[in-house]
Amino acid sequence: MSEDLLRQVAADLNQSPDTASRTARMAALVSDINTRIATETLRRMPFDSTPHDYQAWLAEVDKR
Amino acid sequence: MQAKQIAALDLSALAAAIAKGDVTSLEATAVALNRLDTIGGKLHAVVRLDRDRALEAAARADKLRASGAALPPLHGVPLAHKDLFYRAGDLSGGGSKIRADFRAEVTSTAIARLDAAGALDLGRLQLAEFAMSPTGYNESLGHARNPWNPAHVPGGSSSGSGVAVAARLVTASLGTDTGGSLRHPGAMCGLIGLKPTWGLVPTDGVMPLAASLDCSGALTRTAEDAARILSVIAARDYLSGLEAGVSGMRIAVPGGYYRELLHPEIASALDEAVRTLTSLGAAVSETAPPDMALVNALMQLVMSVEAATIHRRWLIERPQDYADQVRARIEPGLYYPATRYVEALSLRAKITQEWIGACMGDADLSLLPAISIPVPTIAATTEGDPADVARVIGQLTHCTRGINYLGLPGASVPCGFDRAGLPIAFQLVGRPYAEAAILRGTQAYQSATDWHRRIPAAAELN
Repeated sequence: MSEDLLRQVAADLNQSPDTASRTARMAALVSDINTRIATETLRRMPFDSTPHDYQAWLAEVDKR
Repeated sequence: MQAKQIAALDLSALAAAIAKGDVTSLEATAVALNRLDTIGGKLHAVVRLDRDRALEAAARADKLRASGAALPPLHGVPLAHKDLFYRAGDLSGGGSKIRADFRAEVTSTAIARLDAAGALDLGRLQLAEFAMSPTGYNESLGHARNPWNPAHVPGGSSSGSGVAVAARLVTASLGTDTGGSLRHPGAMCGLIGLKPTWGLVPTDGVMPLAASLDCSGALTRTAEDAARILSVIAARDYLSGLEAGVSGMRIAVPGGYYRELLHPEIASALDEAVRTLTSLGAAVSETAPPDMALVNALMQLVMSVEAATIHRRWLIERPQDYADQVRARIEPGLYYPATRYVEALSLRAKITQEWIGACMGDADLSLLPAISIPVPTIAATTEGDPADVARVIGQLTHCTRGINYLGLPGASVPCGFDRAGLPIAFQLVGRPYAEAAILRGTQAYQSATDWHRRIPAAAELN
């Protein structure tokens, strides 16, 4: 992932130029985590998924 | 009763003594305030005390008891809590410079439930800046000190809560856990730090770190005390069945990832704890965890995105008012695409079910290390090569942080001391809402061991 792209994300999309100045030290971590989740999600996440599935599952488990 | 005898009582014993009239609430409160002032000051555990308000409340509690009225379960018991829990009108700094002057407009539900149960609120305790460190690191307000050895970290982020309960300044203290912040001070101070199932205890009126991961809970010395507090703040009964024992209970011990970093002294204490539980009738089996690198990545993404979202204004306007170590943990959240965040939340139920299947199988509980290495010194987590510091900090959360993404309940349980005299603990993790089983297992273990009865020299009770 391009460090310049990340810098732009911090400076322009998040309006945080101070964060952008520290992009270099975070780039490897962000790239690794992004790639890992992006790849695994393609493999594992069913189309019929929502971010609310977890709460629904907890509510179901709590009733038992 | 002498001050030292009062200070030595645990929560259940103190509540019973006050209810019976063996100790007045005023006596117990005066002892706690005095110890928080003196010992708490030395260990850097206290942020703020409201002495007059506490003593007035204690006097009212004694008057109510004298009237013969029915008393609530924690009547007149003095407590103090992590400085993230709001009380309307009071300062609530969150361990930070940025919020030093913030006054809450609401009272947290957890605090309100303790009020209704009769507990007294003496003030607020130290924590890591914005609850962002497993050691208790607080550059601007000062690091809290481990009562077993003040050169060592007490664990964080609920550092002051751990110190205050271990040093017998108060009998219990509310804290929060987003990546291990109750279990770390629990493990490092020799206490039970019980992180409830995500959502079980309300987190309204508690300064957030990452709402999808944050859990409110308590640090206590015994399983019974933990059950007593949880019964109040979760508004469910955890005292019934506490004494049922572990005969027939199935406990899984995952290997692989959870043994990777294990220091020999910790491994030996954990093995001994497993033998003790087996001797009490538990059936122990070995299991293998799933891909924990993925679980940890999901946790890191959710935590940093949610934290960066609420901190963005200050990252823009006041970046210099964060410790660099803290800012470095928040800022990565500004870089992930929204799709990754939604994916991380969407995968949560499936990944949690996979973890339960792999690590627990058909067992009732899973036994993990709480922390894999001996409690480090403050110097080892603040000085020298930043890569070495980061490595130690990463090791401390190796077995705790993933549990927050999974949202499962987990508790640190003291099971020994290392060669330097610092506590060692295991961690009991259960399925969602398995707090009663965790407490039952902990109670059985504590009935056969005395680690939780040992008192650090800093408590000045020996």
